[in-house]
Amino acid sequence: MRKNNYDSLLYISIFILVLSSVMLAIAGYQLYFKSNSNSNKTIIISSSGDNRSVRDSLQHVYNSTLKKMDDNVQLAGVSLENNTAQTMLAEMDRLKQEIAALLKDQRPDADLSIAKEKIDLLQQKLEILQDRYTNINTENKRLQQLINQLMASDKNAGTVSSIKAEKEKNSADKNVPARAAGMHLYATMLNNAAEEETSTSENAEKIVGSFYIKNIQDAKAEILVVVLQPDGKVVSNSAWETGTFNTAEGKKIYSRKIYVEEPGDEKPLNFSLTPDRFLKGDYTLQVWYNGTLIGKTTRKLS
Amino acid sequence: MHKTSTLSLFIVICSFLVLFTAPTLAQNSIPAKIKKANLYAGIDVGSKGVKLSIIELKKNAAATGVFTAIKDSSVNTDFISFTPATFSATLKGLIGVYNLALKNYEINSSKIFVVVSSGVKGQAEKENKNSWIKNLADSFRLIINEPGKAVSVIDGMEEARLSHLGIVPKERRYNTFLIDIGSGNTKGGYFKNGNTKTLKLFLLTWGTKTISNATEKRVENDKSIPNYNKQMNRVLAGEPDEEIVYAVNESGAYNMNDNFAFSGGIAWAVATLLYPELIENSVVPFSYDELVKFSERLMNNYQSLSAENIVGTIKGNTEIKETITSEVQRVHKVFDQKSLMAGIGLLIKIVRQFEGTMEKKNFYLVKNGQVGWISAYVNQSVNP
Repeated sequence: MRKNNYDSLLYISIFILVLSSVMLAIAGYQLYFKSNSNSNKTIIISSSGDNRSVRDSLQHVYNSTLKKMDDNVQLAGVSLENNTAQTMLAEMDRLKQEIAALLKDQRPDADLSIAKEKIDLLQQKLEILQDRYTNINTENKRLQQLINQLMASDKNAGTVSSIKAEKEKNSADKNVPARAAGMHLYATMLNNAAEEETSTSENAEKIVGSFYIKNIQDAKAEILVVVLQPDGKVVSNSAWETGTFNTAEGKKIYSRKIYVEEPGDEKPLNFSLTPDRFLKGDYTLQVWYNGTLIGKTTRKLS
Repeated sequence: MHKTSTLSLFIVICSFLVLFTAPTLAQNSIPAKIKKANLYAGIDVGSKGVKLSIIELKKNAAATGVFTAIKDSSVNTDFISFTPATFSATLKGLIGVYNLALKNYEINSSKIFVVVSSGVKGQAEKENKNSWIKNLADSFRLIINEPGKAVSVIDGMEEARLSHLGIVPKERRYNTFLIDIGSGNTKGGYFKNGNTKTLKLFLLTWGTKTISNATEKRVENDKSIPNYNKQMNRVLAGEPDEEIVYAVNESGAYNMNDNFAFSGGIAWAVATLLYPELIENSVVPFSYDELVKFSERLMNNYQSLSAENIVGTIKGNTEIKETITSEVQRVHKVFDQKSLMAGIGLLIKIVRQFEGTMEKKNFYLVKNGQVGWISAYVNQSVNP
């Protein structure tokens, strides 16, 4: 009789335990998917085991980048004598070789994260190159049209060559597009009241960035700084400092607005941001001017 | 046998712990990242109703006055009608929000501040109904069983001063002119003398509703939008224009400030419709040109401001889209096309006075203006 009572109690207990576990699992499921619903999809680099599928994905991304590069080199061909462009193309060639070598490594435990970082870097450089030469190409087309119109008129035939030369000169001066250079982005922590650079999200207290602008033509030029955290959200200090701006891709949110007072001023521009929390992954600094991306760099926090 | 019973007992205890803790975790109304110890509540007994603001005063609040509005809920009670029914509704609303703060947010009574706003004070003085405020406070104390609970009454000047302290961050405190565009009037000011004791007041007898009413009187039988716009511009070009120009010049605000922040319902509406991407921000910057273009869009393409069309322009992030949809719908419940036009017409008229050609000023729209003064009151009480 007594044994029967204990057995009943045991069955009831097991039933409640099963019910509780199911509820806990549901709560856990909801919590997990809620917290992950906004995160960006990225290529996951496995640290161990067979990474064939990751290699295939990277190879695919790499191939598309190469194709894009081929298209853009043709576009930029008109100005390949330009030193900056040559340097950038040389850097990109070097990156291509390094990535190809990394992707050739067929070992199952090969660390492909470096390959991914280098592909990201290659894509950034390509973007900058593309932005720079899009403007030049557009202006060249416009000038060519103008020349064609002038040549069509016999009266003005004599002045065509001088106009052409003058336009080309102006174009060369004005169409060297502004770009951000010397870009740095890092996280800092306080150590005995001194600020120190850190690479871990646990220790990070502040994001610090700096850069300078080359070839700025306007006085009081508005430079917009966008810092994206790994989940794609824009980092900002306070709502008073942030805002929206228009680009060809649509409206974007900036983290900070910085002014370059004088044309040609290449003084370093510094900023710092103190988000409530730091995440593991890539933090991206974008610099925008007149709706165009003029510089980009990333920094990983582990 | 003994072993079986012990095991049964252990399983029962574990089961109940899991069974009852899991739903509790799911139901907690305080966001996980917020520390309960930093939570305070401010209850504002206003002319139209009772408003509860749950705010988080961060660790540096004493130095910077930084706060985050966690929850802002209100009950419409129309206390200033001073009838038994509105008295009863106000008392009920007051007890309701007090218990909400006490029980749902687990905020200790000592961290819940109750203040009767300047609108109620002014109307009570005008109608000789001060005893109604006293009775409300006494009844409240009796019901919550706290005879010593403070229920403060503040005047207009103090409310404007606290609004500035609550809304404008410390680093912009002495170069920001804060203007609250209300329905019946527009008021604000700035700290002229480098201290927060006295505010240089700015007052207009025109608000969104008064402009709208004056326009309605002129439109007569032609209720079309173009005619409303024409008549509204005539209204704005008359008395309001003279008053705005005089008040702005008298305030000396142009020379003394770099930042001009606008709060009130119309500021919230424009910020929500014009900058949906910044839906989570309590303050958004804007330019005079953007505002003028927006008013044209409002008049000529009102349909583009529907929740559906606005959300259609937003890329990604479903969660934000839901917030934008509900907030845009809320704007359309409060303002129709004509009242938006009236409010924005007044806003443009005021902003125009500060839009310099030589010196560029910064303009901001403040969305949570109504939480500002009560938050500053709480902050001031906690960090005297």
